[in-house]
Amino acid sequence: MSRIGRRSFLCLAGGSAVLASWLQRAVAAAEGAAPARRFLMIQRPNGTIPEQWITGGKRGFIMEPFADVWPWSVAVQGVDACIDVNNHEKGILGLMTGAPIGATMAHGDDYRSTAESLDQTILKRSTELQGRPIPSLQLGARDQEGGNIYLPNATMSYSGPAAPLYPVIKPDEVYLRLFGSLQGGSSIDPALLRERKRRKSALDFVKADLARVKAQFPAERRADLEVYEGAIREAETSLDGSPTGVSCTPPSAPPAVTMDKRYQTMETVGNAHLALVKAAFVCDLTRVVTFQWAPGFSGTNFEDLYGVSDHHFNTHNGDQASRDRTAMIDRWFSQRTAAFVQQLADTKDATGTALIERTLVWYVNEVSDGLPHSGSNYPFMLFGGDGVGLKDRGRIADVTAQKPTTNDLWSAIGNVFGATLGPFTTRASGPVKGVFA
Amino acid sequence: MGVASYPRIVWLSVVTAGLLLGAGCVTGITRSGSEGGSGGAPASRSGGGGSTVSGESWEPETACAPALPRRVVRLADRHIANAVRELLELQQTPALRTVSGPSEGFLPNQAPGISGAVSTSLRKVAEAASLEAVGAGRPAVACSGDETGCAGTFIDRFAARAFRRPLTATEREGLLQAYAGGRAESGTHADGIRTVIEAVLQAPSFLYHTELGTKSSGGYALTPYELATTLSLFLRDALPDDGLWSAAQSGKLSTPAGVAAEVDRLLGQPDVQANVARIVTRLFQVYRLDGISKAPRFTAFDSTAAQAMADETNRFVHEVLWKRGGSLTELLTSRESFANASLAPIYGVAAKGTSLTAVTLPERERAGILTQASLLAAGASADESSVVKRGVFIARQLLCLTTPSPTPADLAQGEELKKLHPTERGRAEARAATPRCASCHSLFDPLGLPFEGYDAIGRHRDRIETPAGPVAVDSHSTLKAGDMSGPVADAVELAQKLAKSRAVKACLAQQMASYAFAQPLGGNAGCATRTLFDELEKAGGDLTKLVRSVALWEGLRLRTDEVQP
Repeated sequence: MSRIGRRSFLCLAGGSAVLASWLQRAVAAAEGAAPARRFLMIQRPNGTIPEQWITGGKRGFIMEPFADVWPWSVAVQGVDACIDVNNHEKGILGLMTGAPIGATMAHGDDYRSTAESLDQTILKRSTELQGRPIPSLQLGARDQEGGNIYLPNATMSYSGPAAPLYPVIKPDEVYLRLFGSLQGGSSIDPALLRERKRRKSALDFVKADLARVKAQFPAERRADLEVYEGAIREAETSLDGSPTGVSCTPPSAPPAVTMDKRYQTMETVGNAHLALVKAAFVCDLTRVVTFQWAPGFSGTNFEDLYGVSDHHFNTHNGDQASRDRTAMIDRWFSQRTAAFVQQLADTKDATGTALIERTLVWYVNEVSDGLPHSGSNYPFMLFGGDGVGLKDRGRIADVTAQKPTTNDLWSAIGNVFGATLGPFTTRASGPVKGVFA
Repeated sequence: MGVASYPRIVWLSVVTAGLLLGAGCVTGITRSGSEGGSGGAPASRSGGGGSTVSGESWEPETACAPALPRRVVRLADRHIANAVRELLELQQTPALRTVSGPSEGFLPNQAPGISGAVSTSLRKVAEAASLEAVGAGRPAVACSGDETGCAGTFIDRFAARAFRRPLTATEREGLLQAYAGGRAESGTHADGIRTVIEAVLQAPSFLYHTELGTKSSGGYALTPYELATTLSLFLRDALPDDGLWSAAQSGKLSTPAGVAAEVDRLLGQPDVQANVARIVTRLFQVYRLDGISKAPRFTAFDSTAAQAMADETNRFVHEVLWKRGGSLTELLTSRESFANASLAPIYGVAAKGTSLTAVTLPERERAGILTQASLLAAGASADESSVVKRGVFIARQLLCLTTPSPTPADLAQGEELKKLHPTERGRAEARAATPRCASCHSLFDPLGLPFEGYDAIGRHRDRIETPAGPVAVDSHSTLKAGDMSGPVADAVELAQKLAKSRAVKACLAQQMASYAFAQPLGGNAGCATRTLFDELEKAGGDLTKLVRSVALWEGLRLRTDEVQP
């Protein structure tokens, strides 16, 4: 794989106003094509302090870091959970699937999803989001606690009932998937071409085997095999040198990281992931991403910053000092997320348009007030531009009167991408009005 | 948890635990070993953990209907990694982890689908393995003469063993085409073989294990190849070895005697014995030591100490199982263990250097695995002991109780109790006196209190420092738990009660069967695992006999009509 030149790398990093020559070629190649739009969800965990999220109808202490990206922002107030939420697992499952919670497994909170997640549904129903080398990405900046068994219901994305799409935690693994086989530019390494053809021979057998077992395995396994078929298609596409029509040279590979519970590690990993998301968007390798700073009930250690050794545990302390520490932690997530939104504003895609113009970012939490595990009035924000129909930005949109649930906000988002969602089997009343044009 | 929801959970827990713990609640457990009024036990049932059927024919299990469904499951990460190592004779086991969370958890936590991210990880392993396998002088590429012929020979052996069944002609031809396509560009035999390896290791025929069986009397009987794989994944956490493969091919696995012979052969092998020991350490969740910190209070606990703790327990378990008779009593009560310089100050014994040496741990301070530093440290908080963690561990892992999780209000109340009571005993007593807490904590606090004699890194203590000054340790408890009911003075006495408890044996039978099935058993498997409990009782609590019984368990071989979704 050729190393990217510094000038091109700076473009990918959003550090230079001058388009690299490869981008200029890509602009020409992209003329006449439908401009790419993208959907990104970012989750931070363990809830917020509602009165410090929005204070007196304005940005509160926790939301304040979004001031610089306010022109791209709509904070949505008044959206409730679609199911009864009393813990983090129900929170994330209800939010992401819009479906009832499945049976518990070995232990009390070990639920299962009963449907695919709605990001996957939107992907399936929106032609403009499809057809990318990587159908969708699931990323996470924190691994689970040691010994934690509640993994299958802490992720954001699900390909079906009881079928979590676990987030990839290691940025170097994400890099491999995104850029492992890709080489753009005018000089093609003959050895790389031979290797691609060789790998394709292997995949040909795998596809044939998939077709055989689909006929032999019980119907109950059909959906899983279709997921694998999609993965093999993705692998084949990645062997097609320039699969996106966008001439794209990969960024530098991120270093391997040893995971631990510290916030510093979460930040390093998270920023590496977000840099790859940005690069993937520039290279149009994918258009649907879910990213977890950390899953619900995660116990990230913020001791060095705020004297909190376990984020989750702290949120369940009702004293004012603990509540203030929870607020500071949620504000910490606001700062990092705002910085990334700024990067999306500063980075241009192949058409020369700022990424944020045509990227809808939905910033979520699996609960609202983490202390009682509330599912009322979620602390949501949307970021994007005219390209995703985000209306009258730079405001707090109070939709309380519509009594919407998360399904209703999903429906509105689905409509942005031409994907009609529903019917829902949990609480829903129709797409939220007044947020999108 | 709301009060309204608790009674149901209590009932379920009681049904599970009380059926096991209460006097005379379940037929088969309180009796001396026969099935009693169930239509008669199969006449051929033998003592000492023997097969439930006679030597040459499968007699229907009349006491319990098949309980496990037919299914197709994705191989767990550790199964795939071990398979790749063995199939290609690699030096190291590939690192493969497609789920977050503990890599050595008791049961695999695999999603059934293979997403793009998982596929990328699998492909990475396949490509790295294939490169190593075709290095100079490696058997995979050894060939004198017709290289296409050599490829066919390689395919016949490698792919069939990877798929755990004979290849079809179509599959063989497909792999020969992959070989041809792989060598087409470079012209090298090695590239062709690499392509075959990568094709096989990414094929669903390798990645998925079927337990669909064929229609038989009483249910669906796993085919010999399926049974060979199921047994091997259980006992070896890997694919069938040469002996098991041959047994499947020859029809030997079609008879109970044939299966028993293979199981006995496997259980005599050092690598299988080591794997069985790993199963037990996984059951005791030694992996919880990974990544935990006791800083800043316990500077003596670092990664070296944690590794020493894990090594001690691993070695202890292996020795108990395979050199000291394998009994549950030995596992739970023996003071004969191992220590090095890191562990010596924790146990108060003399040991030097980094290597483990045999030691006898102090009487009245230690009894078996539950009082080893590994479990005590893993079952504590960063800075103090934990009645709840240690009690929940016993309740879940040794008594198979379902323990509910606290609500935020419960947690908040717990924090308040912490401020009011400086010791874990004080907090436990406060919970016992508070109905909303006692409703759940009565299940496990009494099991955790006896371990108050050990601090957060497993050192024995007789006093606890509090802001108001030191207080004497009080580790007594009163159990209201079936055949363990009554007072216990400390963890040593608790361990002795657990060792004699039928409830513990019943739970271990269920746990081991769950491991063989690689999933928690469903609710209706209680009857089926009763057979295993009976055999464990008859075997005097010999855990190696339990493993044997599970491997020969009719429930593993004969499945219901239902296909698991």
